[in-house]
Parts: sequence; structure tokens; C-alpha cells
Amino acid sequence: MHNCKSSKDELMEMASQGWMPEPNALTDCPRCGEELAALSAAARLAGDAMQLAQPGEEYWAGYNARLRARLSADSRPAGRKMRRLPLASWLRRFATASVRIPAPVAVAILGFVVGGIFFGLYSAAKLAGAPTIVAPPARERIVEVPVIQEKVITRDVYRERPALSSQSAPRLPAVSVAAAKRREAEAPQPESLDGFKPVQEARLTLIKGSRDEK
Amino acid sequence: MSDCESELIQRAQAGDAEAFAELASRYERRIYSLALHYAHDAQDAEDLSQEAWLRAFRSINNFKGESSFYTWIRRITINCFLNRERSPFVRLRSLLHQADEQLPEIIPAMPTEHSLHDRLLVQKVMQALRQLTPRQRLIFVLKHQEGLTYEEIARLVGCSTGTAKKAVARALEKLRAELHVEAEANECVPCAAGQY
Repeated sequence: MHNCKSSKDELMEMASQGWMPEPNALTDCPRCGEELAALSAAARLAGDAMQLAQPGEEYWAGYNARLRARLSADSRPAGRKMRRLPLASWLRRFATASVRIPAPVAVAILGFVVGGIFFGLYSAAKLAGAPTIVAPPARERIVEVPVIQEKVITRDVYRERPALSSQSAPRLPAVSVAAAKRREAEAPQPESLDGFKPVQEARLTLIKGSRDEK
Repeated sequence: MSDCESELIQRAQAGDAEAFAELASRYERRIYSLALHYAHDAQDAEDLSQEAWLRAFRSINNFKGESSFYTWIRRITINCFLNRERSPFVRLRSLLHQADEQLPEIIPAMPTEHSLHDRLLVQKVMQALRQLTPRQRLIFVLKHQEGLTYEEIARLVGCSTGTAKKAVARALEKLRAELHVEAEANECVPCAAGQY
């Protein structure tokens, strides 16, 4: 079913293309037909006015002369120069090339650069203003300190006892020898000073105690 | 593309400025018209259109003949417009123009044989188009005068087809209001009945 609101875009399209209202499915609606007629008339009048707005012939003679002068001043097209000097042309293109980046990225880059410059200058100023610590000159002085040296030397000296001759000992059975050794070990050894020889150093152990225990 | 035009292009590509000027004289009115309706100022229109021709001359060797020469120069012209739009100086100037009550001269030298009615018509149409942005005016001219599709306009101007459609609709509404072209108050029967 026809809808005036939804067909407005279609009317605009038809009017802008210079269509005049015709009895068709769209313009069966009297209101849309009037609308299309009004829009078409406005578009047609605008087209006429645009044609009328063109300047007169005398203007075009001057326009063309001015254009020729500018073309002559520009002398040669860049294409010819490019063939001669590809590097120069490339450099010119590179120098005048522009890149479009999103605004947030541009702001971030700008902030980064400004921040870098600021902190660079700040740290340089801080370093320049900071007091320098100069180490005092080192003085060397030799001081003799008496050191009490004490050394205790302890040495144990052992002497070998003369071994018994095996030829003189009587032969005993193995069991009796073992028993004899056991008895000898268990039997109390008589204290004697046989074989004692004084050494050059004596070891004296003092045990401190009370007078009563003396 | 005629043989004569191909020959002029070849000569221009060889660096012949005179041949290029001859080529320009064939299309300069159309290019100027685009510039005039875009800039809405006669002096700016001349500067813009001549800048477009100079740029075309500098890059004439890039023209491979894949499209017509006019299509190629039109693309260069529109790129000139869009580059100019990004210039902060131009933005500032347009703001000053908006603040200034005295409007810049739109038409440099209208032929004297035009009647008063024609002059009034031009004045009203220009007044209506003045209420649009330069880009909206350009879209309207590309649609109405050049007969491009919305897809082609969107590709050339760098906008969506929806934006192009809105710009044309807005221009038509402004023109209709300024020229006092009103539809008669015949109510659509289903609409008046509240069915939609």
C-alpha cells in the first residue's frame, strides 16, 4: 500500500533527476503528485538559475588568458621532470606526502613527544642544579701498634717399646694363648716406672678448687 | 574521446602548455560552474578552478585514458575542493563570512541581456544554496547538474550514499522554501484518514 512518508526519498530522487509528475503508481496519490511537482519545479528553477549564473563571454576571454599565463609560468608538466629526475621527484613527493591518522593516536604521540622533551629538560636541569660531592683528599699515615704475640706449642712424644722376641716365647696352643691374653687383660696391671724416660716438656694440669678440697 | 582531443592530450603530455590550454577551454565553464557553486564566491571559484587546471597540467602524464578527460579533471577539481576544505585558513574565512552581513560577490559579471526576473531567480537560488554547507552544495550540483548517481557522488566526495541523499533532499527543501514553490493542500486520502 502506498505510504507518503516512505515515498519521499523516491520523490526527491525523481525531482533531482528532473522528472515531471506522471500518472503512475507513485503519483496516484494526489498529495505525492503535488509534492513531486513542487520539488521538480524547484529543481528545474535551480538548474535554470545555475545556467544563468554563468558569467558572460567577456569574462571567459580573460579567464582563459589568466589560465594560459599561469600554465606558462608553471612551464612544464611534472611528468616530464619526473622522467628526467626520478630521484628529485620522489624526494619531493616524499617531502610533501601526508598521512592521516586517527585523532586519539595523534594526541597520544604528541603527548609522548611533549612528555619526553619535558622530562629530558627536567632531568638535565636537575642534574645541573644538584650539589656535587667531592671526596676529601686521602692522607696516609703509618701508625705502629704493639701486638702481643703468644704461642703455645703442645707436642706429644711417643716412644716405641722394644718388641718381644718371638723365638724366646714358648709355643702354646691357640685356645690357651687367647685365654691367657684375656686373663692378662683382666688382671690388674702393676704400676711401675719401667721404661719411663723424661721428655723435654712436661704437661701440668691444674685443677682449681677450694681450700678444703685441697 | 575525439581524435582531436586525444591529440591535444598527447601534446599536453609532451609538455605543450598551449595544447593543454586548448583542452581547458573546452571544459573550463563546467569546471568553473562546479567551483562557483561549491565556493559560492566568484573570486574563490576562479582561484579553485585554475588551481585544478594547474594540478591537472602537472599530472597530465598520469592520465591513461581509462575515463573521459572531463571525468578525470572533475575528480581532480573535487579533490582540490576537499583539500581546501581542510585548510584552517579557509575555515576561519568562512566563519568571518558568516559573521559578516555583507555577502561576497557570487556572480562576477552576469550578462546584461538577462532580465530582472532572471537576476532575481539567480539571487533566490543562490540565497537558498547559501544555507547549505559547501559539501552539500557540491553534492547537489553533482546530482542535479552532472547527473551522477548517489554511489558515484559518495565515492567522489568521500561520504556515504545516505549523506549524499540527505544533502540533495535538504537542498531541494531549501530551494522550494526560498522559491515559494508550494504543493497545493490536497490531502492524500489514506494519509488524511490517519492510516499511516
